[in-house]
Amino acid sequence: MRKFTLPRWAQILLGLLLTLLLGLLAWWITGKVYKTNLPLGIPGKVLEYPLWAALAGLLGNALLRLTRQHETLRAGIRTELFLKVGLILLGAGINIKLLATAAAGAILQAAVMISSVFFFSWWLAGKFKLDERLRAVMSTAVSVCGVSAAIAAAGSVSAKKEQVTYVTTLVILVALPMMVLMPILANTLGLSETVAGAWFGGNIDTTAAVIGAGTIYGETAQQIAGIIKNTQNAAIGLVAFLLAIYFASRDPASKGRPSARLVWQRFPKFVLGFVLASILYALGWIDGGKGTVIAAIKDWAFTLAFVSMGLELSITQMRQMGWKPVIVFALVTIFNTLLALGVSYVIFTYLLPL
Amino acid sequence: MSKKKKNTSTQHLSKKPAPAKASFKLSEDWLSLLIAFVIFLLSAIGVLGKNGINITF
Repeated sequence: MRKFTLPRWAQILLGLLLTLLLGLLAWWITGKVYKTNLPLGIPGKVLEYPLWAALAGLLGNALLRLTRQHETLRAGIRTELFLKVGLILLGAGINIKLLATAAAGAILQAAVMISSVFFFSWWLAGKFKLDERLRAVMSTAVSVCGVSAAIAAAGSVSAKKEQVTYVTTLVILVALPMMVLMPILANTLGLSETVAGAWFGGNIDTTAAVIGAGTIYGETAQQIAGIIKNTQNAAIGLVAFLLAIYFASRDPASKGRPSARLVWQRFPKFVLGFVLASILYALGWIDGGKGTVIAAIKDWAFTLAFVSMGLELSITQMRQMGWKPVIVFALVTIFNTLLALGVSYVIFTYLLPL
Repeated sequence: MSKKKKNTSTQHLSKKPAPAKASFKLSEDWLSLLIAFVIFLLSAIGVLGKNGINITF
């Protein structure tokens, strides 16, 4: 008997519908919790929508796997799309002046963080004798910007699909608790919103969780975290290009060197949209500030991105690869967290304060 | 027989190597730009917003 499979468009539609329903659930919970006081006198408003959205996504994930429907709806789980739309809309609420002022610090921080974390991860993964392509994908993901960087690096080094899925799962698995824990830590350390935003942007791997942590900490923290992360995102093209050169030079069968065209191919175009939106906002052509319809759609886009992130998580992939890469990833994350704290504090407190 | 041969040959020629699939990431990038700027346009002309479809969060 032939197994019935839904056409792809139906899979996408159903996946999107499920994401939307879970997003509505997260929005409803946020509204309910926002007005209440939690145990230990914690105000409900500190538990912002990214947390509920990610939890709603995890709940949907568990239900889909229990009913064996996860593969069927996977085509409609579009974390990156919602995230990119949300980031461009975020640009419409950030004045270009802030963008320009923070740019120098953001570029400096990105240069220090990407190079230090990439080479530390590369070296450590080598010590643990991980496969070279897995080393490349993991180092890029942890040093640049998580999921999209892993995909870009995988294309450059011809990594296996399982390696990309594995790193992606690790990134999400670590980013979800960090999204909630880092604002608490930042609060305990008494960090300003600027330094905290820069810390989240420089440390948390996936852009969605960076925005989530920033949102939980405050509006300025969200904006600075977005600027820092977008600056790192912009480096994907260059890193992917350099990796392609490295792997091409080591592969005797490889013909033709990668060109500057590769940089453009891998460059995240939504970053340009983010900057352009910020310029249009400064010109007064669009308004994405607080309370506007653009800001509301931005929050919806991020909610759907967090729901999708929870829906995407796959523990099975983790089990298949063993524990060595998990240990490497955990050690690099600790290194990344401490270094990002120091770098963001020095840059945004002493060198280039805003 | 020659016709058969010719057909086979044409079939062979028309069997071009499958074009490399455009990167999903790239198309998603452009799609996100399109969606965002449509939202900007609709809010600028008033279709979205307080005097039009007012979406809140």
